[in-house]
Amino acid sequence: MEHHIHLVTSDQPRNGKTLLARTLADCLTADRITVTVMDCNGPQGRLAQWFSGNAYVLDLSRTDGQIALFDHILANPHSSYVIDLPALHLDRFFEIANAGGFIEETRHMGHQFTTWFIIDRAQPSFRKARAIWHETQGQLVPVRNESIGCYGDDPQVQRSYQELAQLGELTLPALTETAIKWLEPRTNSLQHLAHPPKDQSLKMRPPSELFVYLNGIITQLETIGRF
Amino acid sequence: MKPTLILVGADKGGVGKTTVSRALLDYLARRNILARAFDTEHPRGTLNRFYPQVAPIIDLAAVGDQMRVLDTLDTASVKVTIVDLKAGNLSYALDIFERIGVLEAARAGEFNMGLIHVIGPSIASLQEIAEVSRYLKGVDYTLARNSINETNFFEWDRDTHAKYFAHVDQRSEISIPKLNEMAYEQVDLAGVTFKDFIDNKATDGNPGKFSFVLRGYVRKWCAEIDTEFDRLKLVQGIIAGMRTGGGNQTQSAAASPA
Repeated sequence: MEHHIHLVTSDQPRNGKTLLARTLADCLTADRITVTVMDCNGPQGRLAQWFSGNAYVLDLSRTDGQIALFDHILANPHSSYVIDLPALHLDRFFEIANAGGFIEETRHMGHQFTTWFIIDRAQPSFRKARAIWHETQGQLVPVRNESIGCYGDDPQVQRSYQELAQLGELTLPALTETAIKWLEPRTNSLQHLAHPPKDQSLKMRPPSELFVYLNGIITQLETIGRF
Repeated sequence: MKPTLILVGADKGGVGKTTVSRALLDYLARRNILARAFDTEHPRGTLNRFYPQVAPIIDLAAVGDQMRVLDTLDTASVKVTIVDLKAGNLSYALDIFERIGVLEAARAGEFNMGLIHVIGPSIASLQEIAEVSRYLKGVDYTLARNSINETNFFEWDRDTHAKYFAHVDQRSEISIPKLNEMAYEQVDLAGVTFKDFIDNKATDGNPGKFSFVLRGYVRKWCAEIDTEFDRLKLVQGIIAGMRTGGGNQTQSAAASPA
């Protein structure tokens, strides 16, 4: 069975990386795939709280944090991984990865490496996505977050954007505050949506937009085929 | 090819002499240039721990060991000799070499001689420059600046900087890049060469269990220090000499000293 490494990142903060990482990990878990979540927002990472037991919070500014990410993955090949990588550590991640040929090594291990890059509104974000696309030899899926906006929406860069989207593209539908508040405290949110508890009160039921959100993403992921 | 003798030393301890010797041996090995080395940290050698086959421990005060290094420069099959001087031994070694005619022979062109003087960012270290300057005629002199901390060798104080560095006109300078502490410690613990560490090879030749991240740090550091060595005329001369076919260039850099 082929395992995957899903790197979720962007060059800008607060544009939905953790939500996307959480959604990907939820989708993998729902498919009964063993997934380990590597939350690189340490020491304050929030992602791990939803995946207790199979999640690590790491600080990539520290050498031991770097070892806990890269060496752990290489030493534990029998899992898929979702890495939530903040903009702050994007360059550092690729500097370390390139110094030792990390992506090449994971390929030898039988892992498929995919970068899910959220392209923000400004041009530098688009340029950074292109740089990462080259560094990963095209193993990148551009992501647009509808609640943020995306530089790739500019008609002038459509052709370049399509070059980036050779593996496919992912759109994150905008979520209301209500939907985000509903998601916040719940682990296994996807399974919650698929199988809501029978005695759930009306107030506790998930907002319908979450069904649209998750179904939309699952459909897109199936089209992209990187799972 | 004319033999080359390279001394690596400093009078002050803890400035990175053996690290520079190891890096230089590694640099030459990665270019398939055979080199032999001598570790003068008698009786317990650090360089010898990383290069047990290539770098025997000698006592530079012993005439027999002086002969072992100097009388074999021309006859040894390996034409590059590196001597890692123990702390506090730089002036002493140069003094001995002056007295027994080694420096004179180098000046006469019998062999190429280089000195890599490793200095740290302290006045005590910089004062050594003046002390060794009287021996430098005919010697290819390199100051290797090892920052250790985020210091800059008093460059912020032009007068102090000039006072110490003005003692020698003909000098090359290299900067020793800083290696990640954890990476340095793991190489030290493993007791292998930098090259073997990067290649994840243990002392017994089997695959090692060295950290991917730390191997990356060492690889990057070696690439940086290689750039520094590349700039040295002394090193360029060795490489050019090997290319013209006068020396011993093989696939393995392990050379037992004669």
